[in-house]
Amino acid sequence: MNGVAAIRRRLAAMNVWTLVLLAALAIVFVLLINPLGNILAASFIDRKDGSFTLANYGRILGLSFYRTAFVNSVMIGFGGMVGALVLGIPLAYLTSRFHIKGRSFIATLAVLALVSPPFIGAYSWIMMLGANGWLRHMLTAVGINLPSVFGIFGILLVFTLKFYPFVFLLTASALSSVNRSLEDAGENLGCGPYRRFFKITLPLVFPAVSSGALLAFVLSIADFGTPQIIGGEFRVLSTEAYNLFTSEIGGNPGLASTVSIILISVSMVFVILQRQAVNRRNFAGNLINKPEVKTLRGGRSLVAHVICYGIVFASSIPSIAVIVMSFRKTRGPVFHPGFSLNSYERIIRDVPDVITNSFFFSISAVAMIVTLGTLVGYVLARRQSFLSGSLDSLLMVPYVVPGVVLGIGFIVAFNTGALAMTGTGLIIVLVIFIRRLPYAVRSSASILKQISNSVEEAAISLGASPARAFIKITLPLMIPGIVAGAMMAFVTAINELSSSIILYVGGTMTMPVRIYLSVLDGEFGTAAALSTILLVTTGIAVYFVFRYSSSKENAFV
Amino acid sequence: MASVELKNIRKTYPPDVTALDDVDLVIESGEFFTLLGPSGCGKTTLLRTVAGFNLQDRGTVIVGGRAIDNVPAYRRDTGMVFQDYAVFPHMNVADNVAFGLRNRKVAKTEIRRRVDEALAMARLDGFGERLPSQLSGGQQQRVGLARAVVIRPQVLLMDEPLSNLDAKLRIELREDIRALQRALGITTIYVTHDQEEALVISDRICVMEHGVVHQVGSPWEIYRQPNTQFVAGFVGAMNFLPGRLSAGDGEAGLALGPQKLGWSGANGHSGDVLIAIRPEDVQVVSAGAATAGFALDGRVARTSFTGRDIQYMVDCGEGLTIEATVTNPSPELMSQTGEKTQLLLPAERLTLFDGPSGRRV
Repeated sequence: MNGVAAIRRRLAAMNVWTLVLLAALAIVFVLLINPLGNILAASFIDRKDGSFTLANYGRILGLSFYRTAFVNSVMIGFGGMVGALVLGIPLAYLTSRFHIKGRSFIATLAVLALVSPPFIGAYSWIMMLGANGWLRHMLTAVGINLPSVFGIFGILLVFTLKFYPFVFLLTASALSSVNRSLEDAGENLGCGPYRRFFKITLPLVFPAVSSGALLAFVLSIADFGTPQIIGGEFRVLSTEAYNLFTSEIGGNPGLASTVSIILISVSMVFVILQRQAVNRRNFAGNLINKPEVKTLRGGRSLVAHVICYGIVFASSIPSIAVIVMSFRKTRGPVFHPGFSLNSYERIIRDVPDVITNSFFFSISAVAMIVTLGTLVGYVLARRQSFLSGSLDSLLMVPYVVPGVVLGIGFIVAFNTGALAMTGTGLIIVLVIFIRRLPYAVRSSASILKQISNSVEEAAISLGASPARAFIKITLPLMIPGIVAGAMMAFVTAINELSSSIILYVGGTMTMPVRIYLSVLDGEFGTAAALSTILLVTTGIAVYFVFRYSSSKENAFV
Repeated sequence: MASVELKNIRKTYPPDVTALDDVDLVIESGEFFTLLGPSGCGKTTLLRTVAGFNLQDRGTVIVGGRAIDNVPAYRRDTGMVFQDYAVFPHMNVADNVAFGLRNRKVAKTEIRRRVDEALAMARLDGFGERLPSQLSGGQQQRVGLARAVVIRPQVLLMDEPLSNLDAKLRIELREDIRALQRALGITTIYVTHDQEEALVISDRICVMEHGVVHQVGSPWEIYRQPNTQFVAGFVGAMNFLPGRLSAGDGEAGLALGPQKLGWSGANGHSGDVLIAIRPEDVQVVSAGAATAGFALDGRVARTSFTGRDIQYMVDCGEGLTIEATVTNPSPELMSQTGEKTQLLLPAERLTLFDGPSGRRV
């Protein structure tokens, strides 16, 4: 075969998917590499003369103020992770290996805790455990004196109850697919139940446990709303980046960028460590025997149920409290005894545009995410090449970039020039789009893994062009997964705070931003009503995910 | 119907896997041609190259006299049957079968007629409205078969279509596939790793290993006249014994240990050889026999009863264990473990392979 013919064949093999791949790479470059590159550059450039400098890093490392913020960030990262493990692993073990009544109810509550925005949790715990909180009064009455909810205690309380579902859901699904023969073999060779769990079962599910732990860690150090609302004087990197960037006097983009880069680096280090740890423990096996689900009796059963329901109810309390509070009577910012729709009247009167903005931005972003995510997921799953591999790696980046950081990057990159769009709704839509695109890509690719490649090849061998085979065969089979993925994207889009807080202007304010500002202003009634709208919307979306997703709660991690 | 020519097909997977190493084959029009080999031998890669799902690095695929290397998979006139059935789960049986006809813009009434006809041929009458999830594995594969033949392709490609079915069903569907192929006279390339299946179903068999064709021949030739040691060992069971060919004054001699036989088929070859004999050709004798061959004394190490026959593993000393099959065994032959016995390896049943190259002498 000569060279010309080879090239012609190469060209014939190029098709619509190559275009999708190139378009996706272009989008990722403009919306991800470009802003992050700008931040990286800003962290190394002297603001006065534009020369290369390490002064920003020197200042951050030199000032004890930032060193403390760094240590604090790592501390809440570990704290959130440990908390998530302590709640998540027992819950996963009990529900997957023993008959627990209402298992799907437990999973549903865990999912709701997972998808409800953390800043609502933070603010709700303040209402309950603040100096005048009803829960603190109750606990004091029975002799329990908790430390102040402001500071690290509050932050870790919120993170633990927010992120344990990652560990729970991932570990439970791994525990249900451990080959039972391995555990039986362990027992047969003399392992008691506890030893068997720690020596056989836990190492086998290590990849899942560590993925959950990593998510808890990365999201803990990236979260902005929780430390900002409940942290009090406890400063962390994400809040410092925000304060440095937005402070009216002496806002310092260079330093803010430097803090951002440090924040990303910390996340990256842990992602890499986790990957290496998992790579050495890849126990892909064929599942012949499913683990036995045992029935507990008497006191043991009672204890197991109390633990399971205790965990999920504790994580549901903030949402329930907020919803109840939204129906309290208010006059101005002050709550009065009795119930009313005062707060809802106020938000409909004062901030209706905030609600419409939220829905409009989220739906726009989701439409883009689903369209591109489905196509790119297909390319990554079915057309592996060097380029698609590169795109796959690039799409890992948003997982480790906190919203605050990407928000800052967008301002720096799109403030002036051909792509100037700061202050528009579009920039808020685009930042959500690029942050959540990887999730849609991953879910689309994982649906495809369940659809045998030969189904599509059968269509092609029967004379359907690749495009027709995709539309007639593959796409219809992907629809349930796509709907579930779209709902997931919608949930994260409408609850987005950390990047919108940087990018909003008066006319493009969203519900999470308004809630945050209301909490700062002490307008708890307004915050509660808006939070309730978010929680109910989120709940409806979750219902649709449950309806359309084959793997139910696992669609969320 | 069309013949298929594969010329110097080469396919490598960087860095160092050669899936197909210059494969050259001619498949006659209407022939049932089987690619047989262990997993990783390149048989599926070759089949998918004909289908257009793999692009060969070099070489040409010619179907019906026309090179189709630049024709994309969906324009190649091939019907393919898949190992995992690949029945479209969201379409009923009739729509599955009609799919290829719709792509070819066949008229509606014609589609209905041909779908009914294909369903009848695949013994699926009355299943048209069912969804794949309501069918058994065997029925799903019948849908796959009907769907592939209804378009009357130039070539029918089958990639281990029976390997996911249980033994009884496998034999039943195997017969149906063969009958359907004969009735339609359709050129068929069939991939399997099951040597018995290949022997039963094929007009000709191509045995492959590591991307290389070892032998192409009728089932009889493959079983009775294997070209290489690999073919001899892969298709059916075979005993291999170390021997030595010596070019004598007139006739060459074949030595097994101290015993020596006159050997006429040496073709000028001498040196170390492997003497091969099938277990069913080994005779278990109680006294010396008249037939020319090697006679070995041994002790029965193990017997296994398969119902149809008994397999003896006979330990002949010096690390030599020979398998012998006795059909229609009498009951007293069952419990001979540890007893002395004598084996006869008849000269006319021996095949010799060159030691280093593995080729037949």
